[in-house]
Amino acid sequence: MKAITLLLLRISTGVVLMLWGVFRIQSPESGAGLGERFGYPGFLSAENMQMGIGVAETALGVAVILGLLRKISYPLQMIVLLVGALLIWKHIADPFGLFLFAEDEAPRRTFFPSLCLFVATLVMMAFKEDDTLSVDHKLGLPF
Amino acid sequence: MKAFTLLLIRISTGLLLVLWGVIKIGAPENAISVSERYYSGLISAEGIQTGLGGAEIALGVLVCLGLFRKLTYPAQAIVLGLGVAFIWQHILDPLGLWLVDEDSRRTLFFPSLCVFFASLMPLAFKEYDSLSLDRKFGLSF
Repeated sequence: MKAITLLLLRISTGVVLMLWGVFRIQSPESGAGLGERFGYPGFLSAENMQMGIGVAETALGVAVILGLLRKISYPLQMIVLLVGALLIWKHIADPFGLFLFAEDEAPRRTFFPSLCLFVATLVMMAFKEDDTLSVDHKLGLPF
Repeated sequence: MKAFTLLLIRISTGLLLVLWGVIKIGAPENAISVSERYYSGLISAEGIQTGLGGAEIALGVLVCLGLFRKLTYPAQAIVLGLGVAFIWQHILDPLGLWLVDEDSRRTLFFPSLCVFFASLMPLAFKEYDSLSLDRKFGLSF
């Protein structure tokens, strides 16, 4: 049960990273647009940069799904999801638009699960010894 | 660390239930629109929305507190699992390639699956869930 729930969490959060990555690769202009909208640092909004980030996110998602190089891939996923959550922090902290949004702005409540995804990655890191359905564990890798 | 991460997962998933509940009570027209669109109108009556909203808020608070865990954790998993089941096309086809068309795809629905799986963690690792009121009060839940 424990290993299976960790596997399911790895697959679902890894697929989210892959989805983000595929979106950036397929339509880097959309990723750049999102960057400008939610205040990414300017250099991250360049279309070439979006392609590179997209490929990296896709690869990271695959590594997490497989449970490969976990000492690196889990913290990296945690950082990516944390940065993603921080960039939309207003929508998470004030999902009803009570105190952080101007009258003409509307919070996106569908962003709230971003917080759960970040925390889920922390759980994966905390219970790594139970994560036996991972390639690292099967191959006896020290990760 | 383990107990703390389980507490965080309880708080984040519990707050999501509270959020859903408050929307059902505070903005039933939005909730009814969602029901019509994704739940085949099953819970479209305003009275039902208010009742469900109240129950979701209570359940979310109990999960955050770690109270009556034998009941609340499975109930939360069922609620979140049902939520995922109703939008299964968007989960299986988040890019709108074969089950939904590109215009109606909702990629932001996919994290619902992560939230459902996350709600299984306090069930699977309950012995580590020491930062819960059940444990603090020595309740057998």
